[in-house]
Amino acid sequence: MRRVLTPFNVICLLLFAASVAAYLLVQEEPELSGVPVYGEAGEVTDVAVTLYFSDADVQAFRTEERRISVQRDTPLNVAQAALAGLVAGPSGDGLAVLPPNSEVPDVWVRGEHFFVNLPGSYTRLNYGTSGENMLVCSITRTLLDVRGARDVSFLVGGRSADTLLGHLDLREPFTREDCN
Amino acid sequence: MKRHLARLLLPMMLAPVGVLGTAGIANAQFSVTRFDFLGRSAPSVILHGAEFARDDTLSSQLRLTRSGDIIRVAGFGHVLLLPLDRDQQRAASEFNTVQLDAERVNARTATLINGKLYLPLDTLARGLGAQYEPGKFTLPQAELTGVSSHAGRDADRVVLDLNRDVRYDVRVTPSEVRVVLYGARGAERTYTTRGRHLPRVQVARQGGNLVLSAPLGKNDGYRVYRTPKSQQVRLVLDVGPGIVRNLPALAARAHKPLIVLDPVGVDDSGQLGDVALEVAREAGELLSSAGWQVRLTRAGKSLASLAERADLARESDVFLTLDVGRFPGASGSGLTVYEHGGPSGVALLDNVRQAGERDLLSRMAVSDSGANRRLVQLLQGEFKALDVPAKTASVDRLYLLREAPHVALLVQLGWVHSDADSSRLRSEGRRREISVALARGIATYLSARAAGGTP
Repeated sequence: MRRVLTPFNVICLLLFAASVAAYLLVQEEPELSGVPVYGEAGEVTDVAVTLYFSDADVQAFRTEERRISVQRDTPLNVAQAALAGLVAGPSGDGLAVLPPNSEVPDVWVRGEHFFVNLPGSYTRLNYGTSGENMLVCSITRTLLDVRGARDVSFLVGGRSADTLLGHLDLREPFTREDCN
Repeated sequence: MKRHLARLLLPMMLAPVGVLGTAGIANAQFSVTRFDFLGRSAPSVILHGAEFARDDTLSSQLRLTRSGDIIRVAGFGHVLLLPLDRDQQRAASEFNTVQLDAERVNARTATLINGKLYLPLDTLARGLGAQYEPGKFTLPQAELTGVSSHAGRDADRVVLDLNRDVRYDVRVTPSEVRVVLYGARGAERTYTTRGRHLPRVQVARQGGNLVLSAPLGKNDGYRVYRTPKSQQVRLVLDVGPGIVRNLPALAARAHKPLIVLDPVGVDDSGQLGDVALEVAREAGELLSSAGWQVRLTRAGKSLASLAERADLARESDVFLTLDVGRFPGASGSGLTVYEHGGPSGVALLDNVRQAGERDLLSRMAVSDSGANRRLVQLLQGEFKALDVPAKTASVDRLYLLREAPHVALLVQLGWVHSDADSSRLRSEGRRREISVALARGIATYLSARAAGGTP
């Protein structure tokens, strides 16, 4: 009679058992982690910002300290909320520089460079040269007070533009020196 | 045997004594020394009692060229021709014929020592109008020794006699030609001539230089050239219509400047209408009738593109944007003159403006910020005379003002919402007064600029 429990047969049996166990293991449903939620609202915090409006002669700034609520205190969120504050208008004796109830300009942040997309509807504003200067400089000065901002570039209707209303040169970023 | 040995050794023992301070090659005897060459110590050699300097030493101040056996020496307005004599003793004697400018004289000449070219300092000094004493080669103080004139039919001439050649520079403005004689000395005075084209010239001291100023008529050309006269140098200035008017185009342009008036187009300016265009038209007509060259960036409702307006701004000598203040809720009033502040943003203009010491041509090509200020002051004066309050302000990023190489201003004529401004700008008489004030300010500025002065 032949021997059944030969070393070869034992090894083959063990390998078979291992393969069955492995098969069963991979057939099991993997344990899923929770689905990540991107753009989570996070905690709402109040941040102090300085909003720049115009004086009655459209020659100088009128500043207002305001506390605005942002979800996560990032430069982008603070900048976007500050622009919303500019559109909302002043609460004091300053003049609004952005049309009330208008679309809030979008803002992007790349490091220390801020990019503002002025809505295309702004190109129809009936502002003179000093008015256009005040509009652009109010946004510039407001954003340059946000943490880490160095300069502000402007787009009009999502595109690079030489000017907004035909007076101001938008081809280069605006710095604090441009808006004294 | 001993006597023979002594005869052999004696010259060998004495040789070092002869070499001390004296070098002997073949029959040449020269000693190496130093001399003061125009304030700097330089090597020289004494050859047969005459002092010579090597060409390398002299070439720092003189232009030396060798053509065969003739050495040409050019410098300080003179040209000398020295024959090369390989016999050093003969070269160091005065029995050589050398040419000093147009004169042939007997003097020492050039020679070769150890294959290197050496030139006699006394001959050089004699031909170049310099002063020489052994060990010292200097130039005398440049001096204007005489001024003479000659009246011609198509051109007049002024001749400046100088004791030696000087470096000079010619500076031209549209109305004047100036000859700057660097380091020269002379009496300050005005010389009158009998010529029609050059009735007078003025000699004045500026710093350590002497400046000759001569008027330049509208159709006059000029030329300045130098001519040697024996030991002296003559500088000749010819001025008159008979000479091709060789003014730089930029200088000639000062007589025909371009004024660009840029009335901003407004879709809705309420009761005021297109007041900027009306003022621009009136001021433009006044300036045109006075002979100035004027362009408007628009003639009617149709607006020129920003690129077209920028092209005109780049060509302009005076660029004036006219606008009316518009801003919701604003309560300002009055006239405001804006000038551009900060850098232009146009790299070429900024580079020229920031250059430390600018020459006349660069100032003609690109005005500095002082020119803007002068026109602002002139306009303020004109508006003050009209009893119109005029403020001034600075804006850094105005597109067209940044592009203009010369004077560029923005005049905000008033505010749409202001009753006082509206009534002033609607009144034909008052509007004309403002147009006259603008035209007069611009004309005064350009007239003063063409005359080479400041208003």
